[in-house]
Amino acid sequence: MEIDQDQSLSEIVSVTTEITKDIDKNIKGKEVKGVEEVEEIEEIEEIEGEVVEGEEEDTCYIHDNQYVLILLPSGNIKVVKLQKDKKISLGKFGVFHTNDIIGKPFGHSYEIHDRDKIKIIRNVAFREVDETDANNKETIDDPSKQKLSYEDIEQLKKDGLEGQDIIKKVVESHSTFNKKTEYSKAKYIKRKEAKFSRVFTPVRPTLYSVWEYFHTKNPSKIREMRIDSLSQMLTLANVRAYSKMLVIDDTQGLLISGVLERLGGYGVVIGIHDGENHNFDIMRYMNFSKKIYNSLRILSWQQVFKEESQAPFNYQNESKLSEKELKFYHRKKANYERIDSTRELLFKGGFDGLLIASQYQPESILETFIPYLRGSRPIVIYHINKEVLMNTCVHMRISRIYLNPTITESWLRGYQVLPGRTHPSMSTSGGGGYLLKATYIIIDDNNNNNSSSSLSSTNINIIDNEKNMEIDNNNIIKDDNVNNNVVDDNNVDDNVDDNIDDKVDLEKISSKRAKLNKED
Amino acid sequence: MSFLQYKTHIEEGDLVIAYITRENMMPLIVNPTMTYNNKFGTFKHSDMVGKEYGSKISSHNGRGFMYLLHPTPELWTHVVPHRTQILYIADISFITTYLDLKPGSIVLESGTGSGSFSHSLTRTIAPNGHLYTFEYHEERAKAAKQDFERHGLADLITIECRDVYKSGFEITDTVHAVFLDLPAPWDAIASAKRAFKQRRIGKICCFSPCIEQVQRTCASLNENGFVEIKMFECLIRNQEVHTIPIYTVKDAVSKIKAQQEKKRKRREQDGEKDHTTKSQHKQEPPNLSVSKTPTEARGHTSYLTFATFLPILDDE
Repeated sequence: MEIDQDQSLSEIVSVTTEITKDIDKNIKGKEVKGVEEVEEIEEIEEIEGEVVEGEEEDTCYIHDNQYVLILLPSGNIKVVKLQKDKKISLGKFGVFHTNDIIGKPFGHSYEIHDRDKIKIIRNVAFREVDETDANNKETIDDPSKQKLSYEDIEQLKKDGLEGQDIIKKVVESHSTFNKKTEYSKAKYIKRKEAKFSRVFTPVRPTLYSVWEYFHTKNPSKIREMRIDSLSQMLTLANVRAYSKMLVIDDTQGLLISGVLERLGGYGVVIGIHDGENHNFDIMRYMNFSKKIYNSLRILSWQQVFKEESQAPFNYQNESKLSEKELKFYHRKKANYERIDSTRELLFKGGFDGLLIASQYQPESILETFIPYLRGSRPIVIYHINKEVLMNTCVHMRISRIYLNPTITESWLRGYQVLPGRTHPSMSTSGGGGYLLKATYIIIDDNNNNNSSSSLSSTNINIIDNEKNMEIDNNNIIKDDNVNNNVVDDNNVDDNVDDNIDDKVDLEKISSKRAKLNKED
Repeated sequence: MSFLQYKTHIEEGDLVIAYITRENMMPLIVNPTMTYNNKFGTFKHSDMVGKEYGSKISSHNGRGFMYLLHPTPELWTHVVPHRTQILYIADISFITTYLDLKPGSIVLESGTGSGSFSHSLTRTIAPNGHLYTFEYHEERAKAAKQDFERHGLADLITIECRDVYKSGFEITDTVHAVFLDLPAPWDAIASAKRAFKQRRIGKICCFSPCIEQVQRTCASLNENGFVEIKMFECLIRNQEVHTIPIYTVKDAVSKIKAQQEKKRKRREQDGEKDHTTKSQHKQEPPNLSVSKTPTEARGHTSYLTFATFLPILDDE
């Protein structure tokens, strides 16, 4: 196992800053000695190497060689890769042996005692808060009310007191604790728990918990996508077993993790990534099985375009290679063949949905992938900036192959629910991003008169040709009369409203367009 | 099986969602001897057979057209005939993720209602998961059962007509997740607890529109040993996109001038003969794409209360 010095240092720094003046000055030394810190981010080279063996059911039990989120008493989360016969340091909160939790079901919390032993914590129900006559009338900010000094607490620790016992002592030594309201008592205890408690919880990595970790740690890494937006993408795109999806993922693999999980190893997804090598780092924390990874195909932008020729593979005589060279050669060859077959898969088309969370212009992405989509299949685009999607929405309305393009904003609010203390969270995420969704439809204008004008040429001409554009706009407004699906009612001119009862002669319009196409 | 797997072309006997307008969709079972009539004309089913899903077809009298969409649980929600209160897309999505549903999950739902959320759940847990769903209203349970059978979901769903307040779910040590959409979820929580697979972590969601229900639910969850009790509200806000011209104050001045000019002309016309004035070419300002929220929007659906079921310990 490698030790990521920077990571462990930053962990210590963040831990120490939490500690207020009065306690725990010596944890630094305690923590680092003899404990291997698990590195947090490493390059994914081979997905196969990351695979956790076992079936779905097993993901509820803590495994050797899997990623686990550790919830600390401070409320912070630390990601570790568990490996048997190792120790994991939780900074000032202590150390535990991985073997003590491997094989146990997820869900329970553990308290560290006697330096590196753990005991399971029985579920503690939240207690009812009784209304009392106490109020904050006499509350003044005075540290002298706490009779225990930093040195006293250190002495208590040396005497072998831990966790809950120290918290009890601290509360007892607060001279005006009983004058506090029940609410502020609860708050005070919670604060002390965050400081002195040694209870940690191994949290099962799920789409939600992994998202929560990255969203707290570095939201820009996942393009500030909130979990409600991500969930809506998966629902709107009807991601499920046996589908064939296209995913443009610049969210470090968050979106593709969601898609892979919902495919469950049935079906296929092609993930398109920025740069030369994929950076779907987040996937690894999901502890996907080999079966699930088998659904994944990956292409770079360069490999997406037919006209971008790929460097041909240099086939060699295998008998002339040394064992080491042969291993390298086989890996290279397998990689080349995988990309080649993925390109073939893409160009063959017939995809069931297009999900986009990308830094690149959505219109250009649509232009690239629409030919590979089947009819009546969903397109869902995420962006944190509404303006980007507005342009795409206008573009979609003009091109007519998109049914009902709609922009929505995701809205989510968490609550504190405690007996007598229920209210929306005081601080919350300011925004979860915007989604643009539409359904790809097949407009074969000539289905009634059997003309040969193809779908794609019609659409491209509509964009390029001003004459066609005029007719097309005309048609859109008429579409709107009939279908109410392209332009919002408010936006329709009055005189257009008058036309509602006019017979819309679609065949006339489409034959006109076919004629114009021929003229080009 | 069209809810569980996509098809490319429409065949006889398929369920097709006819999209007429955003608010007007119609489920059709394709039968070549039938026609479908609406105010935009007559559509022959025989025209649909062999068409690709997503095709646009014109009516026979040329008055209009419609799109033939592939059914999805979300479209079904729009067209479900015997609909009760339905769940909205924001809630459906958030619940599915929070309950950690994926292929293979075993879920308990109560009540079934119109069966629309059952469709969404089953889509996600297929092909190897299972849904146990309970409905106390006999007619609704029958109708939902019929829908599940027609839609090829029957193998994945066990539906039962039952008053769960009185007799509980009578399922033990089976499910990974529970969804309760009941007026008094607290009366079903103890029974739901037994339904969970006892030696693994599980998640429960209670769906209630009122805050008083949430408080009683939380108290009950707490008493029954559930932890991590959390509550959320989840909505989507529609953004209407328009392209509008943005005029400058100079345009405002020109507008007044134009009005004055018009008046002057009229006065002159009254007295004397017509003076032809050159019409100033009006330059259109550049367009700007803008968006706004609708003046009226959905402000509340329900509160989503979540909690975690803890696996029992060896000595329990």
